Amino acid sequence: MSELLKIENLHVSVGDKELLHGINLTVEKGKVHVIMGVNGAGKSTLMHAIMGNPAYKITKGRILFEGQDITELSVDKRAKLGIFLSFQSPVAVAGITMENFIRTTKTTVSGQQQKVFAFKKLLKERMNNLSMDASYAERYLNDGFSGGERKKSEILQLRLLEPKLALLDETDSGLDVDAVRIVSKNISEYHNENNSILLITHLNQILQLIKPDVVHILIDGQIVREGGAELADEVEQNGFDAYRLAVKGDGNDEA
Amino acid sequence: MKEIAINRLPVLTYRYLKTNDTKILFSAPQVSAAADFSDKTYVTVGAEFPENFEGASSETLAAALAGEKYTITIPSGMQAKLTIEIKLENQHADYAGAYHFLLQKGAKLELVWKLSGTEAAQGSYLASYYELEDAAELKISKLQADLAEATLYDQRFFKLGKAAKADVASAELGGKQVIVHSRGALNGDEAALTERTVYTGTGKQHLDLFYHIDHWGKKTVSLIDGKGALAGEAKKIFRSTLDFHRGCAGSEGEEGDYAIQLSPKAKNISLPLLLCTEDNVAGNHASSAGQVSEEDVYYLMSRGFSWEEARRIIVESLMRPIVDSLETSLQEETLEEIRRKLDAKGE
Repeated sequence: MSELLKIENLHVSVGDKELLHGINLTVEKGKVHVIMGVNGAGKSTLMHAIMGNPAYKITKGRILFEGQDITELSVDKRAKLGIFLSFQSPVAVAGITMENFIRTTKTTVSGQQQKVFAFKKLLKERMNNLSMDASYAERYLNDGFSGGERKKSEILQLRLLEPKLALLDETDSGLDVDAVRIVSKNISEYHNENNSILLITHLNQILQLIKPDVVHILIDGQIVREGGAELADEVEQNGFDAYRLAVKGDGNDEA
Repeated sequence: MKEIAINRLPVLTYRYLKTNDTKILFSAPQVSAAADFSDKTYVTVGAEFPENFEGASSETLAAALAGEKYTITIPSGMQAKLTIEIKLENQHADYAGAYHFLLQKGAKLELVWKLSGTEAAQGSYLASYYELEDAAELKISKLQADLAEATLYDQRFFKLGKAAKADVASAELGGKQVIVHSRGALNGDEAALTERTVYTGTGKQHLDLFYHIDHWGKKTVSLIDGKGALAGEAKKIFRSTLDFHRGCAGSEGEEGDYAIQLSPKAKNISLPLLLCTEDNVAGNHASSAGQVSEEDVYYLMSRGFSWEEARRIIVESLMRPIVDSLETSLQEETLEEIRRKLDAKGE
């Protein structure tokens, strides 16, 4: 199994405040990694740092993707390497239809012109899989979409762009039970031995459908515990208190 | 040349704000260009205009009225399409013309205005009076581009009868100094007037846009919608007024201007006014000006677009709904011109 993503001693700041304090993380091809933690722990910061959001400044450490140091690489170049971030709050782009946007994006990312009819057919199929009405293809991207529809729009892009690394930032939040099932099924169908998923979630429902290989507990900008799928169950039962105490030094590191 | 005041606000504000009107240097046109009509079936030479026809100023209106005059009458129940093209070139650097459009009961007209030319162009002085009888429908699409050194005056007045509808979509892209003065009188019940304008200001362009719609009839509807981008040292002032007069019960109006500033030296002023002497109406006004959202740029870059491409997508997406409302044949040309202007160096 080869390394897809390797993060070494990553320190990230916004303004004067350091949010991540030395993250080490390795994601191998074909694996599903889950990051869990309390609100404000730094989970989304980590995702944005991997994607290259200029608002998050890397002050120390580095990020390697397929062995290439991408720490200084711009966001668009990371996307072209095959990194995709499903946003927690996707923006709306009025004036561009969803179909045109995704087709243009696919052309940009893959470097290959997309044939209109073949793309239309695939888009329709993928939208159907996500229980999205076909009329949404002709609507402006995310414009007037509900929160749940925007999340589906992100997963639709994931399915069509087929990145090597999918960063899923609380893709399940704001979705009803049925929508979580549909979205999870689509993520599962995207996943194969050649790509990897790094998923943030607060809910166990999605993990029943997307089985994690590795679970990381992130507290106060540090990964304090790593384990298999059983770790998610442990969090579900006991919460994060024991890990918080471990970070403060009052508890047991083995929590 | 003499200094004149144009586009004066209907209700004045503090003088120190310097927004009550705009002072410009005015010179009368040397009339030389001629308008080209796609179809002259309904066109006759000569026209008369009512005294309440106001322009950006008395001088600029007089300049237009001193030029070519045409009357376009669409008979009751008829449907027509018409394109009027004005090209300002080396030997025909100026244009002056005044048009009286009369749409009789139930008539429909799709009108396209195209104004273009070279850097030799000096000015266009245009005035058009649109009179829509009951249930008449007018759709206007206007594109003006190029004309880098020209001063362009477009003065229009709409008088709408019962259930008459006028829908105007304009792309103000060219010219050195662009002066638009549009007034609408929604006299008949259920009359509706829409004024949508997309603009780009680059270099040292000055855009002075004025829209004023009076609601007189009951259940009348209005929309004034401006969207654009300002780069370089461009300057734009947008004055819009919705005036709900006593007796126009049940009327609704909305006005707004949304500008993206692509340069710290670009200057933007928006003045959306609401005047009202009738209780039972709904009026909304808004304006916003700002730089391209970093969050939006980041989202688009995460999909593989470069910073420049992302910025262009955001600017285009702001304007696209108005571009899409132009007559189909103008849409691609308008988009290309917007891209050309915003991609140009030295913006």
